[in-house]
Parts: sequence; C-alpha cells; structure tokens
Amino acid sequence: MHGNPLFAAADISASGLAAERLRLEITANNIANAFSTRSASGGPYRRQDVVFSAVLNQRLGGIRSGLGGVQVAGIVEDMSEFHRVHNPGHPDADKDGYVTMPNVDLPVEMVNMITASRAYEANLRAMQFFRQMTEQSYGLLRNQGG
Amino acid sequence: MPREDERWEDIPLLSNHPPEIRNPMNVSSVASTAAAEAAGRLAVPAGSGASAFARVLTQFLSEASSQQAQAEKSVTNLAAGRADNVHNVMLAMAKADLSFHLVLEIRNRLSEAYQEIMRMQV
Amino acid sequence: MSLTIPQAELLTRLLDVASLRHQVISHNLANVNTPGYRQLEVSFEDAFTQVLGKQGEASALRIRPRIVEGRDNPPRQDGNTVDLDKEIGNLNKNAILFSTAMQMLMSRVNMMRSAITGR
Repeated sequence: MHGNPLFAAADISASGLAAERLRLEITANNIANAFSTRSASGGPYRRQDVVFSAVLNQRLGGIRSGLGGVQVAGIVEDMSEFHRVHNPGHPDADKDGYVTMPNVDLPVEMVNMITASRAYEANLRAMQFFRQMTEQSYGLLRNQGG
Repeated sequence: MPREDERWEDIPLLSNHPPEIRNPMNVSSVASTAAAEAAGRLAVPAGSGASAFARVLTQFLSEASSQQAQAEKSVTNLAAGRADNVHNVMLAMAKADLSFHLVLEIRNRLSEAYQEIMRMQV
Repeated sequence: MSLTIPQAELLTRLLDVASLRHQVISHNLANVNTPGYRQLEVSFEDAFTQVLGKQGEASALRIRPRIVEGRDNPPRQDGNTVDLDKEIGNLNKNAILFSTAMQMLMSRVNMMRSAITGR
C-alpha cells in the first residue's frame, strides 16, 4: 500500500498531518512546562522545537512527481537564554531573589499552535479532496439511467 | 459508423433487443463466432457492398480485442502497483466496455436481419 | 473509422494535469512550515495555449505538464514561500478543474453507451 504511486497525494498529505500533529504536541508540552523550574536534567525546562524537511523521492517518470511531502528531521532544544525573573518568594529564588525561568514565551507558543492547527486542517482538506477526486473516476464505468 | 457511401439499409433500425451474453469476457471469440455464423447464413449479394461491410466488421472486432487487451493490462498494472492514476484505469475499462457492447449490438442486428430474411415469403 | 470518444485525449490530459497539480499543492501544504522551502507549481496551460494557437490541437496534446518553482510569493522570515490561504484557494480551484473535466468525459462516455446500446 505505502509507496503505491496511485496514492502518492494521500501519502504526501499524511506526512503533513503527522508532522503538524507532532508540532502541536511539542508546542502543548512547551506551554505545559512554561513555569517548570525543575526539569529532569536539573534546572529550568528548556523549550523544544520540531525541525521539518521536505521529502523528495527519486522515483520520477510518467505522471509521477517525485514529491514525498514532509518529514521530521528531529526535535531540538532551544538553546536561547533562560529568563531571569525577580520573585524572592519563589522556592527556587537565588540569594538576590531572582528565579531562572524556562525560555518559553507564551505568545510565541500560541502563534505556533495556531499555525500548526491551520496547517493540519489544510492537509486534511487536501486528503479529503484526493479521495473525492478518486471516487469520481468510478462514474466512468457506471451507467447513468441504464 | 459506416462511411457516406455505405449504408446498412438491410439492417432494421435500433430496437430494444435484450442482448444474449454467452461469455462476456471473451469478446473476440463471441463476436467472431457470431459474426461468422451470421455472415455465413446471409445470402451474400455480389458487388462491393458485402465486402465493405465485412471490412468494417473486422475492424470493429480487432479494435474491440485490442481495447479488451488494454483494459486487462491496466488491471494488471493496478494490481502490481504500477498504475499512476485511477482515472486512466477507469477510462481504459470504459473503452473496452463500449467496444464490447458495440460488437454485441452488431451481432444482434445481424441475427435479427437474418431472421427477418428467413421469415420472408419468396 | 474506429470507436473514438470525442475529445477523450484532451480531457484525459486535463485530468492528468489536475492530478499532478493536486500532488504538488499537497506537497506545498505539507511543507508550509518547512524552513527555506520554495513553493512549487504545475506549468501547463500557457505552453498548451501557445502551441494550440501556432500548431493546432494535435501538437498541443503532446505538451506535458512541468513542475516549476512559484514566483508570486515573497519569502517569510524562515525562507518559506508558501502562502497558506492562497494554496488552499489553489486546492479548491484545481478540484473544480478536475470535476469539470471528469463530468465532461463521463457525459461523452455515457453518450456513446446510449448510442451503442440504444438505452
């Protein structure tokens, strides 16, 4: 089934759905840990990002496009600076009353969430259209009123 | 479709005759057997009319065979994962279907014409 | 003097183009958030019309669709040139193109069927 050129468009859309879905999950995780000062590795939570890359297949020829959609190249940690916030009452405050907070910026995460959502919807639409177009072909064999 | 100078005047116009399908998959054998039978029984008038008609018929038969072969090839490609588009496969089958029906109708008309001739009081 | 469906070749070519275009648009949508990705499109109509005007339909039917880089969209900060809304618009337009060609082909096939079987 997978790799059958008949369903190339469906495979492409499926790759988009999977990639955006992962992005939504990573973004949700960032939001959930926006205030986690104690992570598994010690220290504040470090925000994560997904890296996408386009997929190009070698199988060209005929009406085949050689296009394969998108793949997740990896999940990386954002190495930008942690925020230092003045909050003397916090259990993890240092001697100056500052707490080192995760490098999560909520507005940025919200935008990413919306972007990933819209992209997910669009890939779904493309998948639905593909199915619709394929099923229309069956009408060539069906008799109309006969 | 006959050319301008050839008419199927002896064949009655289209009517709703139910087709007798012996073996729908084997177009060439049904068609050629039926056509041969019908052609053999009909009195063949002298002149170019009959041979011209025979030419047309042979052409339709061979075309139907090749359409059938092409449709079969499309299905094999589909099964082997070599088909690129569903619409091409469907169209090939639709063409084979049409060719087959055309040959079938010709066979039926020839059959009717033969019967009509046999009923005539000479 | 054989059984030909009128304009079947032209309509089939349109269906092939629309299918390829759908694949390309799907690929664009899958990569709407890929950094540095350049939007792709299918070029066919211009070349077809040009050859149709100069050399007639038979030559025009030999034109094959080509995948080219789109030139209309400026790159975003991450280098990506896909405009999501425009691309969704293209998706819809292409689906209509496909449906139209398919309906026309179906109607011709059914016409032939009626003419042959008398039903």
